[in-house]
Amino acid sequence: MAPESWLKISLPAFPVAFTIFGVWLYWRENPLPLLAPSVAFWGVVVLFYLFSHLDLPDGRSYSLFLIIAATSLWMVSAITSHNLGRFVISTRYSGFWSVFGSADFWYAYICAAVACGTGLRHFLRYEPEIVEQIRKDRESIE
Amino acid sequence: MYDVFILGLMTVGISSVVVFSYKIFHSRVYPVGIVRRMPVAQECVDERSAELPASPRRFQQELMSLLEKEWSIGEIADLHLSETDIEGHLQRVKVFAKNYSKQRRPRPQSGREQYRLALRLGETASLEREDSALEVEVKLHSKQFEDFEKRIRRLEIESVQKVQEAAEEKPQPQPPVVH
Repeated sequence: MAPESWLKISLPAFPVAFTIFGVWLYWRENPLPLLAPSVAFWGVVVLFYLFSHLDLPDGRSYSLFLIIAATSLWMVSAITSHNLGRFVISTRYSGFWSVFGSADFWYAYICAAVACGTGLRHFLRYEPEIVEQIRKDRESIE
Repeated sequence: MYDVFILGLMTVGISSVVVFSYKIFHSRVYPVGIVRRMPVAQECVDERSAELPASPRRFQQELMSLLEKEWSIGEIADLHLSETDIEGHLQRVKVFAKNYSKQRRPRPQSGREQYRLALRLGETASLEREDSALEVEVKLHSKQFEDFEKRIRRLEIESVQKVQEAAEEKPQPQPPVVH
């Protein structure tokens, strides 16, 4: 990938990096409740970027529906992460492995993984085409 | 209730993501690239304006700068601009309107629609300037159409003449005599 492509994929990942490096490594707090919605949000932002640079002819709105679906996954991840946070600060939490017994953990991380995976999959598929088109446009302008 | 809502939303979200990802991967997708500051239509107008003779581009630029400064039309009229300047500007506006309408014109897909469009354009082709490939094509089609009509008329005349000649050469049958 081109250097600017790395920048495009890295900037939306800033909340993920903040959760890992700030909340977990610096403040030594449990990152699990914050990590899932950040990961899902990463995928949503990548999809927003992609489909503002792509055009589907004949008035097809697949990209719009895909973004709405990814946003709903982010919302589910955020709601269940909130409940996961309540679980983490309760007495039922007895260590890292105890979160696997919580349904909210699975809801949050499955939705986050699907939203993020979708964004990255589309990014790897269409980003080279966008970069190529931008290169052609720059050459024509110069 | 909470579990049903979350599970339902998650199921709908995941299934929608899978379905629309599949549809996008199997559709034609075009990258947009850089969005230019100047629209393509405006570029076209500027190129056409440069081709026009005896029409100072400076006047157009000055007029546009006045309009951008939110001058009213009355204030601009008070400047007492010459008629040639105004005519030149109007000519540019006409060229712009024509180019813009051409770019907005829907492009037919099938051959029948193309033929209909050519006929429809053929009626108005004499009103427009002959300066585009589309108009040249329309004129060519209308000329071919006239040639077809002439040929059909000539064939009709020839066939009628042949029928008449055949009728003259054929001997008249004798009416039966009844005794």
